[in-house]
Amino acid sequence: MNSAFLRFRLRQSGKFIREIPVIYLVVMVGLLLIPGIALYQFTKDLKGSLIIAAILLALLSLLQLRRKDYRFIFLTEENGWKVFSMDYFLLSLPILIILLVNSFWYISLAIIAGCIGISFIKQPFHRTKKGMEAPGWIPAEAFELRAGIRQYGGLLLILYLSAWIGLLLPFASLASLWFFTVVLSDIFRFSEPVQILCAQERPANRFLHRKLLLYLKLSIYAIIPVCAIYMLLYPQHWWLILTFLVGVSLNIALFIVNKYAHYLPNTKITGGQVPITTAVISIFLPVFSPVVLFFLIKYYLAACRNLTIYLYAYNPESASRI
Amino acid sequence: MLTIRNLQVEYKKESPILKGIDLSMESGKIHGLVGLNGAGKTTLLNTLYAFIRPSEGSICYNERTLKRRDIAYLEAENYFYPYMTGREYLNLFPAGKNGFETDSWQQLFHLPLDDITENYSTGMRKKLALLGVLKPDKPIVVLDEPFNGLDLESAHILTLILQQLREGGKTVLVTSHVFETLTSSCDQIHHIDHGIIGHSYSREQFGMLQKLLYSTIEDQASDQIKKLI
Repeated sequence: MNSAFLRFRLRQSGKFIREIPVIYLVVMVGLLLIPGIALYQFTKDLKGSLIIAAILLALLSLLQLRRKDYRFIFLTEENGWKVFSMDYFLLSLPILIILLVNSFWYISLAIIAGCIGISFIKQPFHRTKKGMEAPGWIPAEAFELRAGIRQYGGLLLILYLSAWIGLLLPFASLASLWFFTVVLSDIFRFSEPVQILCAQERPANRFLHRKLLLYLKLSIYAIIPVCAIYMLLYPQHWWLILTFLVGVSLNIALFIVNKYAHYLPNTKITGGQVPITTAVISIFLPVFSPVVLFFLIKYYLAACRNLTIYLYAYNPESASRI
Repeated sequence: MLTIRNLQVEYKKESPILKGIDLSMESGKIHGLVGLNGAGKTTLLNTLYAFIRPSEGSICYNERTLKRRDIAYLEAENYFYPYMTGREYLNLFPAGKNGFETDSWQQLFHLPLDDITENYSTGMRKKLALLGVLKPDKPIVVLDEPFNGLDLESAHILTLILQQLREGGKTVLVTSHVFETLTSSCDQIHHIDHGIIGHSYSREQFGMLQKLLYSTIEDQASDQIKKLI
């Protein structure tokens, strides 16, 4: 077997652990102890052990069918199954140890055999599904939304319809709309190529204002009708609707400025998770709204600075190129 | 006329990438740019498009400072936003005065514009990116490795497009690692070496440039290859 892969995997794990701050590591170990103990308790009898083994093997099969390095491994290693089975063995190790502690050595052996068996599953060649078609009235400029509808269209539609159906009960519609905005937060996690960024030929602040305005308009158009009917049905909740609309607007603006504060062409945005989580929670706990507002201002300024790197050539004052 | 004077670019102090480029490119001509890996080709193109600010020098177009608005730039690597169709990608670019007709270009390049770009081949991606560059109809067209990934038919169509751009009076700057693709379409080829333009070659001097490039490579590599193989 290509031992370079084993060394590489161990290095990857080491790097992953080293990059976690010590305090988080301690918290994570503490948190992992809970499922670890639960797993230990659950696998004390044969039935529980078999269930865990079956779930583990099912998850590993899914991984085999979806892993992105499938072809690469065959390019580097003639017997790709050896690398796959090594990976699955490493991933199964904690469960194998728990099962051995509980004296179910034969189930551990079955899992190891399963890992080898799964390694022989061939990944079918598949095209990426196009998903749901975005409505024509959504402008081309809102490409994040159009792409997001393709990815999460079904879920968004269900949430939006449930917001309408939920009008029959107090609060239900707002809960659905809240979920709706949570899904929206996920559509701003990819950076577009610079060519798209530059297509409008606008300086950073004007680019950002236009984007904010566009998305606030689109979201408000979607949310306002539900909120208006809700207000008619439950007029005593007027303050709730008002807070909700302010909260949603702040959140959407934060999703956008966070994207551009961390914008790096052609990459997935991973920064700003804490502010986004705070924003999402703030709908239920409006006491967090000032914190969201603080992050919004902070990231707006950061986004302007970051975008200026790419869009400085469109600033009216940049007549000189040096 | 696109005029570059004493253009210097450095990523780190005292390690310049471009060490004083002097170059004039006439409008209505196709200009090639050749150089070995690391010679500074892409840095020069990125500086022309104002992705990089030069530390010294000037770039003028028709005797005024060059603006990014004057240039359309095709990068060597083309990335597309996830779950975006080809048509949506093209819709993002404002059409220029040339009356860009998406469907006519689709017929020429056989692009599945209503499919998402994840399902495009390398050549299709290149063609889509190229259409995004042609749509705004800019006076200067800069193409970094436009022939990469194109099939025989599309590569020839690209050559014809370049000729048409020349007819339209545009300044076209093309790089390619395949020397023959440049000789078949360019009016002039500029040789960049270690961050400076060594020499500019007209059509009748292309053979000389080819000899120079290949002899340099052979001098550097042939002994090593003999040792290795």
